[in-house]
Amino acid sequence: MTVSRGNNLKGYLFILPALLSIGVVFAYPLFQNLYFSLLDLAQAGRPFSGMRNYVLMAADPLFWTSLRNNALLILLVPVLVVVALVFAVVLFERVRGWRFYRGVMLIPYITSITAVGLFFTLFFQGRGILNTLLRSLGLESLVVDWLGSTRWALPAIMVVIVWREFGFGAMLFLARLATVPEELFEAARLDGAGWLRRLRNVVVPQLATVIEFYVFIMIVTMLSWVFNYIYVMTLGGPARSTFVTELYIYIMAFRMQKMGVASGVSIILLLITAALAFISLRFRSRLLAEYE
Amino acid sequence: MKRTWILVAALVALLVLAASPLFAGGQGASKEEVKKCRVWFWGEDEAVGITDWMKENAALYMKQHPEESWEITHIDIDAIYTGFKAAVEAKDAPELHTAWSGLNTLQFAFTGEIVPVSDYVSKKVTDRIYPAEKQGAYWNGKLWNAALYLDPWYGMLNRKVWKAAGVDSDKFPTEWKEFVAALQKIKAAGYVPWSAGMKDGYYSDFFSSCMQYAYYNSVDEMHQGILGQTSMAKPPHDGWWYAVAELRDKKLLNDDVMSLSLAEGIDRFMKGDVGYSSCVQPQATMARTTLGDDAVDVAICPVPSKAKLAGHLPIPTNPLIMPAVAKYKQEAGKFIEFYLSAERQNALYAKTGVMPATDQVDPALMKNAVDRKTLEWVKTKACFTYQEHLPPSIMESMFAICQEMVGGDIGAKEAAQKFEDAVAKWRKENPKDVEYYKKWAPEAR
Repeated sequence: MTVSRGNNLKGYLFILPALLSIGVVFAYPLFQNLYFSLLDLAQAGRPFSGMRNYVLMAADPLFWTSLRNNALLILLVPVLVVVALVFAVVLFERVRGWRFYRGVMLIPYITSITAVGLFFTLFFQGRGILNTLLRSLGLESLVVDWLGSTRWALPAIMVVIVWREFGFGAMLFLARLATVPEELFEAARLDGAGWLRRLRNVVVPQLATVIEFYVFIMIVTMLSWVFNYIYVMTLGGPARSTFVTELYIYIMAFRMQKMGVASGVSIILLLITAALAFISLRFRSRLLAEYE
Repeated sequence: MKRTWILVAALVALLVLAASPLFAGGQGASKEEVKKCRVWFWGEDEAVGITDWMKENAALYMKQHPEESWEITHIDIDAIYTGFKAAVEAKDAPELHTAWSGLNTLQFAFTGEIVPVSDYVSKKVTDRIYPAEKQGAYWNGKLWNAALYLDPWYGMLNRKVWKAAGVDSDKFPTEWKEFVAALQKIKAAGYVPWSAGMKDGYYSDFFSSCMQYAYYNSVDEMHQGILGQTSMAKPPHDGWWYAVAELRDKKLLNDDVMSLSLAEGIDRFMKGDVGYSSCVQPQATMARTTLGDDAVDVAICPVPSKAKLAGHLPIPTNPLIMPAVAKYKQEAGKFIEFYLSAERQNALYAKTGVMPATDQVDPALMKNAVDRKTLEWVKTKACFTYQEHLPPSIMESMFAICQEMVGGDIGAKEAAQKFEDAVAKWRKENPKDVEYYKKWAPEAR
């Protein structure tokens, strides 16, 4: 019994450095943030303000606009899956020049978001590349100030996000497809299954866990990793039409000096992301069980 | 064994002694007494050469005060408030830090994050700063920042474009209708009448600050609107919304106004095919450098108003504040006195071409008509700056509403109402700030 207790203690000692670093890097900022969200940081002495920051957040239409935009971006996830899947399957079929396309496809993903954002800002600007192209083709009626219009700014950003992010999914799917036994495809072919049927009955089931993983990563991306796109391309404008939750946190904290509200929103964002992660993990374990 | 322990103990004792300040005192006493002071400031983006001037200040000052070392750091415009907040939070703030004036400075006074400059700088020196620069920076009878240079906020025009369009720029319109007619002529001649950039929202500041003050008889009228005694959706507060809407409706703004940032909108003017843009004096200086002395003139934007302040000029400033956690405040005060001396102020103008903040600049130094005109206006036409009297947290709303209006989604009436709603929301959510505002307003006259 004593020996077992000693072993347990030893085990805890072994993981202590990791626990400490997690505590310093994650737990401390998290609890500090939670604490800040309950204070009025804009006042001298930082008095306790209870749930006031959360009430202010809930009463701010911009917070809801930001959340709505994040939700709209999440709608991109199925689009990303389909685009990535199509590219992966086409490349898996080893079309002519597939090695070249495989390399090219990953370039957007490895390019920094700032560089991508700057390029597409010039592309979509009122006097940008796209409009110049449209004008030269005599399509003047289609010319729009894409990033300067409340109607088109978010869709333009969505296009850029799909352009940059699908490569990662395609590579994931391609890597998984490469490990699927060739016999499975062969058997399907012998059974007379066409391309679409093979896709539905062989490829997709084989990719199920990878797709699920990609979906999860992309949902988290759409919630917590789109700040750079928005900041570089529109700064949340025009007229706040492209605000997302991350930008809302940034603006609240550093432009409007409402650090408490910013802390509250970051807690809410974390909770939403955690909830989605939980659902995803449940789904994943069910999927794995079915697969086994 | 015992001897070994004694040796080890002696060695440790020696090491501790060697590291102690008492022991080190003999060798490095003078080094330790050097007070390390820091300035984190912004300005190079518009006042080209100001970093060199600041470094020159530090070098000259250190010659006079060898017991102090002054480190000058130019910071990014986006890091002004984030950097200040982080430094204060870490209790490692510089002795002097950039902030804009009015409520932009005082928001930190209200929270106790800065100390009054007037506690450390002699009245003799602060008295030389132009009164308009200090207006709005007083609180509890004390001055909370020290101007670095002036930012007269007016318009710049390209005389060549005006001439090519058949409009006499020497007779710059003093009435709004004439001004709009001139811009229409410029447009008809194939030029861009007015260049701006709304992407980051900051140009809303330019529109409002260069126009709205002229609808008031005094700054008190603006304060009444902010405090809810009058509606910001009604005259005189709504004037600038209608003026900007007219520019939009008559297509007098550049067609890519919504996708350009403030800086890009101003840069558009530098291309030489634009008639007019709002600007601060350092930007007009840059335009003169780019387009030539004979091409660029400055003007006060007329608005359809007969109020007392029409025809005046808002003159904000780029000042420095003193963080409360800074270590050497007395020294910082002396450093301010040094850079506000006549010799250093004239050196500032000579190096950068921006308007010094005190009345000591030698007019003979001004070789161009634009600067001479500006100096004259600084002395005779100065009035308050709208932006400095607007609570900072309302600005973000103003940016968005102005974007919405310039983008064509709403009209002037709706924009003014939305702005009134934003101000009312600020009052509701920030009762303490409203109290501060009420207390500050009489001092900000």
